Amino acid sequence: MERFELAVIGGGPAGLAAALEARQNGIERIILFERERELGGILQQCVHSGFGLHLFKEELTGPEYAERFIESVRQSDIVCKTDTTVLEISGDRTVKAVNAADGFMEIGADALILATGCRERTREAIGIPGDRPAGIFTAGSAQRFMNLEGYRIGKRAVILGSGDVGLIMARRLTLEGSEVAAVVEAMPAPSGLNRNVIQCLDDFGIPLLLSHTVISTIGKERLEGVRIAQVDSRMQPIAGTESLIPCDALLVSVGLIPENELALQAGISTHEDSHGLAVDERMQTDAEGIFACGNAVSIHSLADYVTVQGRLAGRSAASFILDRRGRTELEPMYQDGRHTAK
Amino acid sequence: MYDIVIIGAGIVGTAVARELSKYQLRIAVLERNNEIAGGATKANSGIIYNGHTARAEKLKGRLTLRGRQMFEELCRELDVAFKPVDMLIAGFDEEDDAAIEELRRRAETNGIAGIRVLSREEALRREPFLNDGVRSALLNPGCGIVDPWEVCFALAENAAANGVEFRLNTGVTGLAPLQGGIEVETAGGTLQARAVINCAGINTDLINRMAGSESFSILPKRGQYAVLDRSARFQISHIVAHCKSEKEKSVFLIPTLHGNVMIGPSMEGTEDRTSKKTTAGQMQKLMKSAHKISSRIPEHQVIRSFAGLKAKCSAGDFLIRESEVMSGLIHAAGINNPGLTCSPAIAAHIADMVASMFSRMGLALERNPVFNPQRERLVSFKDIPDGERNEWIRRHPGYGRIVCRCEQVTEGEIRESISREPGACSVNGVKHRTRAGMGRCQGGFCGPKVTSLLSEELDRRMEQVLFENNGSELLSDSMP
Repeated sequence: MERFELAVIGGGPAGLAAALEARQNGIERIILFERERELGGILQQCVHSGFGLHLFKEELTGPEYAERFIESVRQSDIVCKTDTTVLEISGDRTVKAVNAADGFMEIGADALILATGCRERTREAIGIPGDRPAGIFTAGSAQRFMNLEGYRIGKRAVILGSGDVGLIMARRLTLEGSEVAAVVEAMPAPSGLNRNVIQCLDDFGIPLLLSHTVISTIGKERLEGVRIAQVDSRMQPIAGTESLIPCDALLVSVGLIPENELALQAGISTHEDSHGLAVDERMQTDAEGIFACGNAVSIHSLADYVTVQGRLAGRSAASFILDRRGRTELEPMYQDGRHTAK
Repeated sequence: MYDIVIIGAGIVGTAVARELSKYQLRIAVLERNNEIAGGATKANSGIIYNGHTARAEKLKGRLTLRGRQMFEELCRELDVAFKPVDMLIAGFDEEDDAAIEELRRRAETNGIAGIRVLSREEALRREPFLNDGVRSALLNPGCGIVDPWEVCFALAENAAANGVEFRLNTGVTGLAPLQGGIEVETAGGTLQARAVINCAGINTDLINRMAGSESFSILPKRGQYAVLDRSARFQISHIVAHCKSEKEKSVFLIPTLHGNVMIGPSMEGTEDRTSKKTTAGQMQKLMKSAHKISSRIPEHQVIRSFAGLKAKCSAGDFLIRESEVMSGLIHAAGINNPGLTCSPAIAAHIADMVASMFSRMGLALERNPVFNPQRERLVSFKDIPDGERNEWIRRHPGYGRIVCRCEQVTEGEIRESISREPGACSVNGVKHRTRAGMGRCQGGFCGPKVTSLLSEELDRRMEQVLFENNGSELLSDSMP
């Protein structure tokens, strides 16, 4: 079994920052696993701008933001295994992974950093009844189809949920020639960033229906429409307020859930309500030497914050490893344990 | 001229096709959908019953007992996973005690070995998630769990390997008598066959009408199900139900082959033969029924709900007989629960009917000398032991690329599922054959990858790839 000082799982903004920070803090043998062909994680499909305002004081697209870190990783001696899926981790910090070139591999590490990101809540998870035809997408998979594969997902769409992904997709669809009939939000206020409400909906005249939800989906083979209704304060549809919106696509953008299946299998604790990994102020989980950062811990509104947290995890992991080597502890970078952007 | 045309490629049609492929016959299976197993077969509980409630005076009862005896051997031949699981039928009040005793008596009459009534303590020890108020439970050993569509795919693949032709997207539009046979009109042209076997599920009565008879009708029932996440902190080791009264049927809590718990079905009559929609009302009813068994079911960990249409027949029993108006036509109608369990027995029963029909025509059924009863399952990366994975990936590099992260399905499996005969033709076809998209993200991550693999393997443009049936294109067009 090959041994490394540090294994980082996930090559999105959290994992990239963590690996680089650990490298800069004297950790020499680092391996980073990424399941996609490219590093960068979900940033690669976020072609809109707005990244980097806090960290770099400039407005970058997702791929541009990612590139700043990917470039540094490329120039370093960090071993990057892309197109590689981690299958299992264990509390003694061994990692089982697989790819087509190397096959099945098992490596050991002195410390692990989990930067596994999040997944989208689906229409099934929120129990929208109705038919199950083609044309119902999570906002992120619609974004991938459009931005990475280059396909339109429908001619007339309804978006459920006013989170940032939903808002950004409303603008994206409009710019690519699809009509967005409405963004429907069950809460009485939009849940995404205010700047996105203005730049993605208001600027394009897309209606935002607050305190409304989709109560059923209609269509045998391809979606033909959604039925919506106003909801009361307990999120229950109010009788008599139903209406039908004809559309051939429904984008569901109803929240993100930290993706921690690897950690759960290894018996690492998560918060029951948020599904985020439980970490201490140094981003260590309840398994010694296993750290976590980014959306696997909690859902962040900005990639910049994810980067900051990734750095903290990288630095903590480095100090853990160096400690074990019997060297002196590093100067703490964040005196109060909080992770704020410099 | 075909010897046999089978209408419908669900569990009954494919079981009949595979059974008849043991003989030297020219056989075609016509399926109106773009995928096999697309009707009631895929919206099924997956329970193999042991016939504890079977009634010997009914054909359904006799075929259940026979089907159960045949099922495991069939699964062995077709390399299909079969998990023996005991059934636990719980009672919560005095009335239930009587119902359980009645069930026990009937099971004993049916010769079910090992059936017994458990005390409250023993029931709770076996199934700690049962509600505290449980009084007693009937332990019914000798049931089992399968993936119903997997059985159907396996039957179809084995039938095809033994010479049966499968024609998809080929709905039957008319039947006409011929000298020594039947003319079958379809969307894709006309076929002639000596015998036609009507395995059209909820549309068997429409086929009967095409033959000129209204001797039975199908009363579709919509059954809804909910599936819990594998990682839900709710696991069971039995198929669990509340003992049912005549008025109120209980849902089952079913431990699937893959570690999920499935709940269902809730049943309602419906006029609409095409709608497989789920409804908020029935889902509430389903959960209410399930909570009678265990109030600890984590409703928020439902990852999928779905509905299917079951073909209840006006005759009140399975209706398997020759048509009274068209010679050469055999109906297999009204195959509702436990049709999956019965399917091998139904197929054997129909083969006997075909043999006697052919002998009346002066024809004999000759054994197919090259019939191969074996079929091999799709190798699943997840099931390969760690030590053998590298060797497998070296020979099949696609198995080193995980496409569906939730269920750990590789590119190799997906390509293989598409290239089989009959293989997956759509995203849902891939899902049912490989489990890609069946996990907690419901295809959010793997959907785009599965779509491009289908595009490559079927040599179709991305925007021509189907979600399931014709008209279900996933993408509208490519961007300039």
